Amino acid sequence: MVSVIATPQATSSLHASLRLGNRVVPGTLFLALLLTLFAIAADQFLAPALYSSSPLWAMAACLLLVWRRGYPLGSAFDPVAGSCSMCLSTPRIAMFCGAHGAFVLAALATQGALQPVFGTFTTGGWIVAALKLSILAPTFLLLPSAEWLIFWHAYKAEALAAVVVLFTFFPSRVINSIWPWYGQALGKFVFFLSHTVVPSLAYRSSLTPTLAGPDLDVTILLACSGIDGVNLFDYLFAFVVFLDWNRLRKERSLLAYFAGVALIVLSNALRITSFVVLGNHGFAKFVERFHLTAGWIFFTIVFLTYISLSYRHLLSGAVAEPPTSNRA
Amino acid sequence: MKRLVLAAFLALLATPGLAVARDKRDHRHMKAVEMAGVGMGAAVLLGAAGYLALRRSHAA
Repeated sequence: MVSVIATPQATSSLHASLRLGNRVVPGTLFLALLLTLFAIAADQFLAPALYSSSPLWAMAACLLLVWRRGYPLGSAFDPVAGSCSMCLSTPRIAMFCGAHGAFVLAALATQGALQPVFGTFTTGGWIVAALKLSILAPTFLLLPSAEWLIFWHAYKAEALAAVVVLFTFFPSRVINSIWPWYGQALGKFVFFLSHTVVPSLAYRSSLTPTLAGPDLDVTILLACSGIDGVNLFDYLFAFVVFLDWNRLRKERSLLAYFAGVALIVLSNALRITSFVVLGNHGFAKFVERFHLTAGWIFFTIVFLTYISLSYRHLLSGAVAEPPTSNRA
Repeated sequence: MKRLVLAAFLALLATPGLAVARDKRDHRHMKAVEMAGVGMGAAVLLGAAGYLALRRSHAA
């Protein structure tokens, strides 16, 4: 349910706060983020060349975390202590819509010319990928810079979390681009780990390196890069962050996220090593049949072990929850 | 919670078997992306259920 509530300082229109369910959030910021989310989705629907899931995920993450946070105590948005009186003006909304319209028209006009570089790892391909992220820029037209600065000070953690999501979640493009190098590094690392247990193992270098053993040859495909494990970690860590956002230490959570991704990448190497070792010690059929399923179970166990070891540290010394009226 | 964990675990275990059964039945292969989707979904459920159990134990 969405309703506007009047505050001591803001008694007209959508000045300071929206009540969303049992939470109170700054109405202006929330509406600006919501408008951006809808505008990006509409742009990508109208001009498929603009499609990238990253801005959608980032905006959704920011919205959800702002909602989880509610109004920061003692800030300009605190309905009791604050003095915020911002609202979205019609001319600014018109400028915002105009900018998005221009993006769509430009994308449709240049679609044919840019088609050859879409999804490639050339300089042009990277520039196009970066341009897709610039679809977020019109959001800054919705409010004056001074008011964005106020929001930044109040919701810095949520904004940084959105930036992390924008650049790191579901990194298929990055993995694809570094695969020629990373595939070799992964193959050689697995060979190094397995060689002592399977002495007759041979390493065949190619885009998809193969570890040839006496009973089982293991070819490391792009799908074995650990990208699925990282995606799974992203989903689960995002769930943890969403539920515990008001109790988490934000700096530690950021470090824990990157440490977790590194752990998943390392675990993936150990997973493939176990296939090579087991497959060449009488379990070739078993490995062949269950290696996909075992991977999901393995990554889930890694995540649960990691979160159970780090959870206490992520919560300790956390800032207090918002007032009772603002809790889930 | 227990049912959720059980369902996720069974889905994970059943994925390859279902793929093979379907292949034998009508000579079609379950696409890799479908298997990955089922696996990912079940793993997310299992991981989320485990985290909720951990969260509850910390709250107690």
